[in-house]
Amino acid sequence: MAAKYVLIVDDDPDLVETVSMILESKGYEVGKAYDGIEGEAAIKQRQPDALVLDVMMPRKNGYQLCKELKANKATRGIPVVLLTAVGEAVPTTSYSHAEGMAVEAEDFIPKPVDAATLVEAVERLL
Amino acid sequence: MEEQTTVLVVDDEKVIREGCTLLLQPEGYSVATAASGREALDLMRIQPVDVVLCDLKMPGMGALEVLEEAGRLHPDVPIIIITGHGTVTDAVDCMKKGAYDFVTKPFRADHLTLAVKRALEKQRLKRETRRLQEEQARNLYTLAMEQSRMHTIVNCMADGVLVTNRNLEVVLCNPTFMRLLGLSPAAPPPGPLAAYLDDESFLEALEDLAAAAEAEPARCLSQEICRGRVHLRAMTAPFFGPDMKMLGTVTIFHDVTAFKELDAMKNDFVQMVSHELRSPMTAIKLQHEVILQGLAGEVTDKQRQLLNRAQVKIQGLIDLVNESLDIARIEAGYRQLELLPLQIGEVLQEVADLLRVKAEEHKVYLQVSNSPDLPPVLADRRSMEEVFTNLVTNAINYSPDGGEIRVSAVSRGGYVEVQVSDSGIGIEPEEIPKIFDKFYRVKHPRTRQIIGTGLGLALVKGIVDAHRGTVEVESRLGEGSTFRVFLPQ
Repeated sequence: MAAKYVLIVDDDPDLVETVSMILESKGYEVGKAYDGIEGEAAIKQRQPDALVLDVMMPRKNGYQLCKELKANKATRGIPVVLLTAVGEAVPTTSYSHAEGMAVEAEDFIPKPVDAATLVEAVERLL
Repeated sequence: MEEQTTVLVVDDEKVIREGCTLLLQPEGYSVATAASGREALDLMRIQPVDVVLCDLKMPGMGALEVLEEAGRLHPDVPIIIITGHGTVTDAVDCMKKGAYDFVTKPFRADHLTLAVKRALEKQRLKRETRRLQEEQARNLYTLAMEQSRMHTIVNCMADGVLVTNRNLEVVLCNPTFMRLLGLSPAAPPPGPLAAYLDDESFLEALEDLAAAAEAEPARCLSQEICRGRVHLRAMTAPFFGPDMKMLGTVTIFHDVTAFKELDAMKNDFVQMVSHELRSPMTAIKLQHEVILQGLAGEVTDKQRQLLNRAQVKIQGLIDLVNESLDIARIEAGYRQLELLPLQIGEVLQEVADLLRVKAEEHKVYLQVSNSPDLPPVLADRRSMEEVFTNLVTNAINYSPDGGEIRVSAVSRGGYVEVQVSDSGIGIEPEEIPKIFDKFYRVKHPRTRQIIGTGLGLALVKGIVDAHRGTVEVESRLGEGSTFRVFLPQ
C-alpha cells in the first residue's frame, strides 16, 4: 500500500522541516508549502490525504485557505488540522477561535505542539 | 420674652405727657416723653422707638415738621397725631403727610390704647412685608447665581450633557454634546430628540425608561453609542418634580473612543506576542524532539541529557507565555467565563487524578475529601481546573518527601470553601501579602530548584475574583500552608 501523502503548510521553515521529519519517520510521504498561496498550488498539483495547516501566514492565511477548500467540491474531502499559535479567543481580532471553528477544519491544535500530539492528530484524520 | 415696645409721647403740655404715660404703662408699654418736636427727634436718634404720639400744635416745631423729618429718618415708625377738636382738619392734613392715625383731645383711654395697638400692628406688617421683599430679592439673586453657575458647569464639562422634557424633547444640551455628536451649533434646543441623535436603539431605550420612570424612579440606563470612529458611553436617568411626576431625563455622554482604540491595540499586541513567541518555541521544541528521537542522526547520552534539560526550560517558557496571556485576558475581562452550575467536588477529583503521578514522583501523598451533599457553584469549569491545578501543583512542589496534601470542600454560609493544605516548607509571614502578585516568587534556598513562572497564584486570584469569590492563605513556616478558596453558591 502506497504511503499516505500529508501536506504541511506553515510559514516557519523550521517548523515545516521538523514536522516533516517526524511524519516521515512514521512512514508518511510529506509535501511542504510555506504560505497559503503555495499551499493552494501544491494541493492543485497533488491532492493530499491530509493537510496540516498553520493559521497566521502571509499572503493567504490558513482560515482563508481552509474555507476555500471546504467550499470546493473537489477539495472538500481533504481532512484539515489547523495549527494555531493564537490559541484562545481574543475578541475583535481577525483570528478568533470562533472564526477557526467556522471554517470547518476537522481538528484544531494550539501551538506549541509536541510531536506525539501532532502524529496522533494526523493519524486520526486518515 | 419679646423686647418691650416703646411709645414716645411728644406734647408741650406736661399733663398730656403724664396722662399718656399713666395710661400706657399699665398696658405693658415702655413710655418715653418729649416736650417738643426737636427733643423728640433727638431722642429718636439715640433710642429705638416703636410708635410716636405727637401733639399737633406745639411751639417751635409742630407735628407736620416732626412727621416730615421722622418720616425720612424712621420710615417704619408710625406716628399718631394728638389733636384738639378745632383742629381736626389739620390732623387730616397730617394723615395725608403720612401720619398713621389721630386721636382727639380729650381722648378716652381705650381710644388711645387702641390707636397705639393698631399702629404697632401696622408697623409689624410693614416690617414683615419688608422682610419678605428682602428675602425674595435674596432668593432671586441666589437663583440667578445658581443658574449661572449651573450653566457654566454644564458648558465646561468634558462630557456631553443632554436634558429632555417628559415628552423627550431636547431642552438643554452642552457644547461637548454637540461636538461629540458632530452637530452644528446652529441647532439649539428645543427640538425633538431624533433631530439630535438618530440612534434608534438609544431612543427606544430612553422611551422605555421614561415610560417606567414613575414606577421605578431609581432606574438608570447605560448604553454604548457608536458614531463612526467615536464611541460614547451614555448614562441616562429620569428626574422628578416634588410630586414625583417625571419631568424629563438627563443623559451624560462620556467619550470612550481612546479607551476603545487602546483596547484594540492591546488585542493586537496580545495576538502578536502570542504568535511571535509561541511559533518559534514550537519550532524549537519540535527540533529538539526530532533530534532526541534520533531522526537527525545518532545522539550521545550526554547530548540527550542536555537536550532533555533544554526541553524542560522551553516548557517553562511556554508556560510563562500562556499564563501571561491568560492573565492579560482575565484582567481585560476577555476570558469568557461560562458560568454553569458546577460540582466542584468532581473538578477536585479530576485535578487530583491528573496530578497523582506527579505527586508520586515527589513522594507526596495526595488526598481528596469532599463533604457528601455539596451544593453546586456557578463557575467556569476550565477556570476552576486551572485554579486547583495551580494550587495542588504548588503544594506538591513545595512539599518535602513523604509530605501530605489534603484537598477538601465544604459548604459554609452561602459559599463553598475549598481547602488545599500541605505539610510543606510554609511561607514567611512577610511574604504572604505578596504571593498573589504577578511574577512574585518566594526566595528560598530550597525553592530554587522549582521551575515556575511566578504567575500561577496571580492567575488563581484573577480567576477567583472574576467569580466573585475570595482566596486566602494561612501558613506556618516549616509546618505547611493552607489555601482557602471561597466560591459563591
